[in-house]
Amino acid sequence: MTDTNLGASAGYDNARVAPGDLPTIAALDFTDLAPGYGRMLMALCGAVYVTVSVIVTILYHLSDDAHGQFPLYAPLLGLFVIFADVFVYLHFHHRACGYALRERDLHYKHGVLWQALVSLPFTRVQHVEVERGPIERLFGLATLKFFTAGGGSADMKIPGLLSADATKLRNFVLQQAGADDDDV
Amino acid sequence: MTSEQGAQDGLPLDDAWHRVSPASIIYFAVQFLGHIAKGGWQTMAPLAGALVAAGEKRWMVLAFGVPGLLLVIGIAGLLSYLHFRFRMNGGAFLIQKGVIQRKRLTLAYERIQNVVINEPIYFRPFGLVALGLESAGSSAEEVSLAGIPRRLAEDIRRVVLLERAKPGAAQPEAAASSDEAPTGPVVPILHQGIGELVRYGLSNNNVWVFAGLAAAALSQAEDQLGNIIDSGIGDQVTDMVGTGTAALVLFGFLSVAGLLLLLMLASIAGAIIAYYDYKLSHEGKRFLRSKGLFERSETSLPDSKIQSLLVDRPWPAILLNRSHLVFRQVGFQSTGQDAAAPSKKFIVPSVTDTKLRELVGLLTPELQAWDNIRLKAISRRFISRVLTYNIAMPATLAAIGTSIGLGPIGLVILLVPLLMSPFVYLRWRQYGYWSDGKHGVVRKGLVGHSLRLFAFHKVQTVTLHQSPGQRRHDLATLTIELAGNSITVPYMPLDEARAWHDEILKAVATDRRAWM
Repeated sequence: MTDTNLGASAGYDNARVAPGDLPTIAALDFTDLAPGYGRMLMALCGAVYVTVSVIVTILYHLSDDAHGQFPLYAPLLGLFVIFADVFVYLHFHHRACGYALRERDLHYKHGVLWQALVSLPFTRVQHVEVERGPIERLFGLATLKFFTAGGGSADMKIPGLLSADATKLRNFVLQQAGADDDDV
Repeated sequence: MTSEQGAQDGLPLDDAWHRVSPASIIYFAVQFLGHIAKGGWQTMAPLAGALVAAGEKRWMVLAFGVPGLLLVIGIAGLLSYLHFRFRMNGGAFLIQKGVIQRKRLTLAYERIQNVVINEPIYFRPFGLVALGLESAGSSAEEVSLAGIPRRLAEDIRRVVLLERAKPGAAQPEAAASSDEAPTGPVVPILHQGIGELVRYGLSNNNVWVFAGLAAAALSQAEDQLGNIIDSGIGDQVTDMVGTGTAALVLFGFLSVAGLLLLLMLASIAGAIIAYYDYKLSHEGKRFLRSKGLFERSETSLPDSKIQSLLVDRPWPAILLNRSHLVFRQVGFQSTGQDAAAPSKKFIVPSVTDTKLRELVGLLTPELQAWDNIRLKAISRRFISRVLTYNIAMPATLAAIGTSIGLGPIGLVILLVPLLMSPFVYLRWRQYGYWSDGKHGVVRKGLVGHSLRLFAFHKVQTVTLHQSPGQRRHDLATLTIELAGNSITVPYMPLDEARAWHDEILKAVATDRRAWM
């Protein structure tokens, strides 16, 4: 895996597309999502964990029946186990995601157990959206959405990109898509 | 196009706005009526309310209301006609329409995807037609010129298609052959007589879908049937056929058969109305189709707009040795605003194998191996996976649930996987895929099947999925998105799936032909 820096021509100069010599998706070199994405997912998960625990504690103290039935740590322990699993899953999830850029197409892989690899040729891009939600902004991240003529929803969604990288990637894709249109 | 050329063609290329024929008032009125009907019950509610409130004087409401409504519809038609103007210049159509809300529409020739000529029955005496221009964008942009002479419609079609092919010179062959295109009738590749349409009516899926719905409705009615017989309402039935159980069963069987027969007749009638005198021809890289009993429609579809070819063979069609083809186009969702918007489904009903080969040859001349296509089977693990995860596991959970509620009898649900397994096997057997590196063929089905042929260079996105189980056995599921529809090949060997993935991306990158 290479670093998340999209700068210079490192990610672009991928001249593997040579007529007759078929580049294969098996040999793609993936770029990790920004480390901030992992932190954002963990923070979100932690916030939900704390909120739910607080609510459970308050409810426990408000309820008269619960005191006699079971001690407070029982539900809290249950929550801890569940959220610990989610934490572990998220840890692997964001590491499993990555994108790869070639001269003519963009690839995004995701999924820990059920893995998927989406490939999008630049010439098929109809429009691109950069999305920055409030939490993403807090972490300086952005989500890139690519739309083709294939369907209504985004055909490829790459979350966890540094804002600057997202803009660069978008401009690069649009430029490649445009250049190809001119060729035709 | 120069204006001399246009004048020569008899086209209205001057700066003046033109009106369509006054006969189009009928067209607009019918459209208005369609809008009322579509607008739903809200529009009808006042009338219904008046009817109920009027009580004894109901007939008065009807006597004044119905002619009043007709008058309103007539006036709406007249106003729409008066406000509708069109002109053609600068390589675009300009339309002014709308009574309350004025609309100006510009549709450039190069954005026109299809040109459709419809001949509604009420235009026939006047020798008029409705010309529909389908754009590649949303259906809201579509233009319908209703009430123009047939000759003019045909000239417009010719000019638009010619002009469209010119600018980018992306389709030089198309332009060249359009130039040579004879104005007279083209010899059709396919001319479907009543016999073929009857075959289509019998073997298209619709009738069996209806039959399935009817069967579901019947089985629901079954519970009540017993009650009806007990309560004496069924006396007429028992009088007719006697009281024996066998006789009742026979009666039930006959009524189901009768219903099926009725559905078949309805389906045949539908096929004849929709596809009467079906003619398909191919000219200058375009398919031309004319069809219809009451409303004749002529549609042209450029080859390049076709995203995939669906060869549908439901089991009745296999018995009749026919296939039904659908040319799948870019599937922008229709907003359903224009009641007159022509359907984007380009169906070729009841095609023999010989004709199928000919049509495939026209559509993909470089694919020479239609007869040599040998489909590869997907992995057998598909069967065990579907049986385990999709059927056995839910069935076990359901059985546990029901046996808690009902006792051991609830365990009967465990038989479901056993009963389903032949179908899962059939499903697996029908799945098949083939590729020559430039085209893909994917088959799926149960008893009947459908085959999809698509060119790799038209693909939008490819996704390769792997579940943990698939990873263990080097298998993958490939999803191929085309504009408007998606094709999935489950449980391919991983190296084959990767090869398809790579070949598709290569085709998209290297094939310079337009996908749309």
